[in-house]
Amino acid sequence: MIINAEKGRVIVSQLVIKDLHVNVEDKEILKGLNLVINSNEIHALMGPNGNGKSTLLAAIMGNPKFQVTKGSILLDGQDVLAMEVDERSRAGLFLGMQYPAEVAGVTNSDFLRAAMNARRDRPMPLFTFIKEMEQTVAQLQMKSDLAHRFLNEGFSGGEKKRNEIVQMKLLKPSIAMLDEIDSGLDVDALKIVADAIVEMQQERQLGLIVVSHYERFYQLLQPTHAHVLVDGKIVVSGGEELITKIDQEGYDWLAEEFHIDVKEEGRKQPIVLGTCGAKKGV
Amino acid sequence: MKKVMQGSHLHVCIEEDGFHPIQVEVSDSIELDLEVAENINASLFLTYSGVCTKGNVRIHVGKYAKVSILFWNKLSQSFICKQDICMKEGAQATIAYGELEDNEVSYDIQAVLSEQGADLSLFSATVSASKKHFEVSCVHEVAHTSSNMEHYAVIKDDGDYFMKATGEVKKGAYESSTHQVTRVLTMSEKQKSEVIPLLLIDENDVKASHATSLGQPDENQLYYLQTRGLSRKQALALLTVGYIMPIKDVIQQEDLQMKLQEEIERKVGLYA
Repeated sequence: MIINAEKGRVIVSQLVIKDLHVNVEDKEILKGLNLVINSNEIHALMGPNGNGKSTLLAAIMGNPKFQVTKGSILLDGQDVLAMEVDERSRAGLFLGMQYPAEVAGVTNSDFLRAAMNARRDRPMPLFTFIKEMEQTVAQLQMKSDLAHRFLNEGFSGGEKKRNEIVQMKLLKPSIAMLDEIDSGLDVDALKIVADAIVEMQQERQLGLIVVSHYERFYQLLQPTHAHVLVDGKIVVSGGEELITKIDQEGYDWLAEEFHIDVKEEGRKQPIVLGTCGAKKGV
Repeated sequence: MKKVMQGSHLHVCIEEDGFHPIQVEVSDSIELDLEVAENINASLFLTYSGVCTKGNVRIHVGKYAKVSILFWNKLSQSFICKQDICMKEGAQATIAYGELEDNEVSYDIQAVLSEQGADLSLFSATVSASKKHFEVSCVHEVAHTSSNMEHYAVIKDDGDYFMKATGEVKKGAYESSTHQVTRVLTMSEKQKSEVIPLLLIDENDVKASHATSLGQPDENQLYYLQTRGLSRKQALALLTVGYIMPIKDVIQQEDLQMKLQEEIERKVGLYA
């Protein structure tokens, strides 16, 4: 537990990222990123595609494909970078993934029971587990056979995302990171997922980093902070007004106001292939 | 159930519906005749224990009988076993082999579907760091017979897994089906695994298929499981459970299923 003397309030958990540099296959993606997330805060992380949002979350969680070359990540003063992936999870971090893995043969209930027991000295009584899982599945309005289905196998996009939130609720992290968890959700499902996140955030003073491209999702979550990530760095931070501006104007204004060159993955110039070969014989 | 033991020869005759647990405590060798009478609907959980090294097992499934048999190996020594399965008219059988112990095992299993309507499913679940060799064949002698084989194995350390699975459909066994799946998860660089799927088809009007996978655990899956707090060892154990656990459902007895689930989880080190 950390006490913020300046504001005189108790911070249950704090994630501090300092000067973070991350490479993927020898290409530098994050180039000195700084961010502090406290309990009870919701940070909206925005930015054009391909600028490092998912990389940041994956690096915090310890994905072996991402190499941290410089900087530090501390969770409640503990060096996160020195921890294995599972240790980071048990320390209180959670990553709700954009593309969760499918694991054939392993049922949701076996998986979740094992994950919950990994946090306990003694295995959880089966009845207690079943009751808690059933309540959470019902809250996310998922089908009751979820427990017996193989982990994410054959799930629709929306079901996978809801299943990530089921896991988050059962594993009770202190800092959760949600990577485009709203993609694949219809309007009703979006509301259900957002309500579940907000309820958990309020009950447990959860700290959240949320990556999304949609203002609608952020309206439901009511972020306390918003950041724009461009070319591996946070270039602008603010509050909800920043989300509204981006929703209305996109990212081009960053170039005018802050002289930031905004590059977006996939926004490429058309390539002229020359004359169609089929016409040559005509 | 009639059970007669004479020396090393055990004769078991199932003449009543229901669940029949059979424990075979043997030394040296065993001759087992297992007979399921006509029209019987039964399930058997058969445990081998002791120091048996050699077995000859004959299973006879009578006309229109419906039976599930789970062989659970608890032997402490190497075991060489020959099994002959005979399926009569309209007989339905699910026969499964649970191999979780580290003793060396060689099975030679031959099933003959000799009368119309015979329907056989063969399953095996193996977790091992030692030699586990299987040669399994389902021979369709007549028309309208079906067989399905599913073999799952997780091979660790110096494990040596061999599976030769043969579906043979003889001339005249039209409108028969034979399917097989073998999946092997290899957990060590030192292990040796070989799978030979064979379909020998001598008839035109037949449905047949085979599928095999053999390889190491998927790193993306392991990462995903680890992000939820499972150590790498626990994540590997969970993947192992995924391969092996379905065998517990061969027998529809809740108490037995719970017991087998606990045994499998303990064996693979999920809750070490």
